[in-house]
Amino acid sequence: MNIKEHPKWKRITLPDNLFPESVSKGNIRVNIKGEGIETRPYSEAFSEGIIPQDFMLEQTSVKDLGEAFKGYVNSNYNKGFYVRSESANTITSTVRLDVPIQGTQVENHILVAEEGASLNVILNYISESNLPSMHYGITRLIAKRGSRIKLIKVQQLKPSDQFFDQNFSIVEDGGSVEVVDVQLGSGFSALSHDSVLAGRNSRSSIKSLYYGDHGSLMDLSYTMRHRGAHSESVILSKGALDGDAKKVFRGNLIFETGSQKSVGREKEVVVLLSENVKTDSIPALLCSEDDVIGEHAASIGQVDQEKLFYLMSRGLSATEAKKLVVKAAFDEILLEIDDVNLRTQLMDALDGRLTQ
Amino acid sequence: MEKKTYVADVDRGVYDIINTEDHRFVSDKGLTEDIIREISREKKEPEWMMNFRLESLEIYKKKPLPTWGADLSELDVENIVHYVRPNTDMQTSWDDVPEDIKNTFERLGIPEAERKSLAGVGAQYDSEVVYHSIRKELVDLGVIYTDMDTAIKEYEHLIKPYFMKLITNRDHKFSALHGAVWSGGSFVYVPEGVEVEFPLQSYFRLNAKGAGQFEHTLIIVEKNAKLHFIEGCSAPKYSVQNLHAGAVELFVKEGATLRYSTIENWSRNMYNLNTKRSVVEKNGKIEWVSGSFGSKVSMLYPMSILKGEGASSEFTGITFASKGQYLDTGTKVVHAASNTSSVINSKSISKDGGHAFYRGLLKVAKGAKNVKSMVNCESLMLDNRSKSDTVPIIDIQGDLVDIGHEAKIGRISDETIFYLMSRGISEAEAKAMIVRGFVEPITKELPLEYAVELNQLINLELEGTIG
Repeated sequence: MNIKEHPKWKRITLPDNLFPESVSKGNIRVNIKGEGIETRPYSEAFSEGIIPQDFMLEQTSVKDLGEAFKGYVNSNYNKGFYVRSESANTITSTVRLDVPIQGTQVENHILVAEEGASLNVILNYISESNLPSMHYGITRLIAKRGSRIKLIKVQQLKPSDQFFDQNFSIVEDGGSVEVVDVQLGSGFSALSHDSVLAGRNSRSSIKSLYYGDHGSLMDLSYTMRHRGAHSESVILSKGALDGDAKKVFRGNLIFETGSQKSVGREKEVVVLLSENVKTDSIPALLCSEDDVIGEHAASIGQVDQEKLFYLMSRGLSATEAKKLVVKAAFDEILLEIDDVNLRTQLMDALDGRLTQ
Repeated sequence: MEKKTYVADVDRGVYDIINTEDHRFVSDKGLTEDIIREISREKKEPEWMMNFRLESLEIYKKKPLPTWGADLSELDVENIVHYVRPNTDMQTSWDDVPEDIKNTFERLGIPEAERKSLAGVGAQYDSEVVYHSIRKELVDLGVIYTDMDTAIKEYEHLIKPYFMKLITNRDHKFSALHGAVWSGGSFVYVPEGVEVEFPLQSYFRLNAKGAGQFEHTLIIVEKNAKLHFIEGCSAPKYSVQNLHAGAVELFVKEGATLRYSTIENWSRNMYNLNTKRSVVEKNGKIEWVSGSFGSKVSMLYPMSILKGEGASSEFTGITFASKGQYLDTGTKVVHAASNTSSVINSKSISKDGGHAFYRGLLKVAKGAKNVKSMVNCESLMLDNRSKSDTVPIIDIQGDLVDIGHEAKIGRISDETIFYLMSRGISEAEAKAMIVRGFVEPITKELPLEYAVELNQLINLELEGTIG
């Protein structure tokens, strides 16, 4: 299998041994709060045929990480869950999955919110071993009519680890999907979030935060496909790069014919902290419907000198002032994380990284 | 059912008048070594040029078609006549230009503009320049403005170090093709410290059916000099393919300023695969003003290489894609030195099934410090049969940069119209104001007669809601 065939990978050099044959035993800690939530292993759900076939077909049209990647995950996965919510309680219906990565972990997840239901899922990736490890995963989300799914993905792997992650969601009439994607670790991350706003009045948002330092490489791809009328999407990405970090951001807003009165907004903010960083941005607006609003904006540069000056005039050192400004920018994303413990832990982790 | 405003197609009237073909020499269709040798012989070129053409042909044969952008599968280069010499020599007086050719340029308003507001004019008809003139006072200051064929012979020492050095025959398939079959175009040399007050204008007209036009424009603006150059292009419509693969190489030296304005109104059977590039030295400035209205397919991305410290570039472009058109346009800027800055303003309108694609690249090379850039792209869609895409790539190495980018796609909002109407403006006038306002940043950058032409091109019939 050769993932290099995919044109989207030309900006970052891929690591060797991309698809290892031996896969480790996965181990995911599950914590469920609230009633009306069903969880079972993905393999079981798949063999029982309860994963909707038309959804699987829809997914084949998504090619972000390449066919080779999808094939690898689907034939080698060792862990993963089918999570379904019938609960309308927006606060208590929460599933937290802590995923320790050791060796090669391959996961398949599917999250389903039934009509009018609500589902909060946290997927927290942490390193469990000192040996270089890898994560390969696909997460699918189905938000049925009037339902809401909020997915928080946090990646805090150690620098020798690699993280490959693909996400695909479909949002029906009046449904909403909110994704918060926090990338703080790993030496190599390639991920994609692709959302189809299929229904009328559907909503989808991706709020992403990343921090790259040393020689970390990141390829982040976020796509919103407006298919239904009156649909609304947001892509917001905030990141900081230090050391020799290199990052590629791809933000795609697609308006298909029939998505009239839809609004899509995309914004990217990159703070550059070292002269050796490299940042590529490829924001695309592809539009086949006239009665829509599509906007994207990007701002790339150092920490605002005026802000720094103001803080330093109040007695902060240059480093402290810089740190404060970067943290303030990140807060907008971190405050989306409702789990206070996780949020505090991330804020502390960021604090530590910025001090270095 | 909402009524939609009908925005008329660009009125092609005078552009579509076809002259009878009267040629002194026509090459065979297609591309072979013999054809290239024959063109070179016919043009009585120095040997180095013929060798360059043959080398380019070899490269052309090896290079693949681009795998991105427009679909070029229908383009049949083998069926295109690459060289058509009109039945006249180059003249310096309009009176000496054959009647039908002169009438064509009269209809396009070229001699009149020359009398009124230009410092010099070049007119190319098919593969050769038929008229060139420049005001005497500029000649006295050392300004050279002539056709490329004359320049190759008379100013070889000036041409040779620059010719196809910025756009090489190895860049892509169509730059190789250009290297092999180029003909015509203008050469401008502005000596140090000379400011050319009025614009120079070259007009390229392709009359021959199924032919290609491959003019080469080379401009050198020396230290602290200043020039405004205008390029116009048009062709009548035929049912067969025509191809335009010109090359424009602009050298802007220290402290110099060059403004390069283009209004391109090729007919809808034209493949416009043009390459334009400029290199700007210390504190120099390049300004591009670019209007793309015609052609069936366009792939055009004028490039600015900011090589010297303090160099800057400005790009102002408008693309109007209507029925059957795929216009893939944009600009590339490379910040290769510190303290460089760039501004990009791009607008596009698509209607009636037209597809407008903005594709841009903004690159900051490693080591370039204090770089500033602002990119702004706006697209207006007038119906949902049309398409409008925007892909501006930003590629940055280093941290001492300040980059801002904004893009918008959509139609004219009802709120805006409502707001203007609440101020006592009629609905029709409100819409007209908004469309005029949309293209205004472009029109104000154009010389007056072109601004008038552009306003005529976008002929609005206001009725119902726009969109």
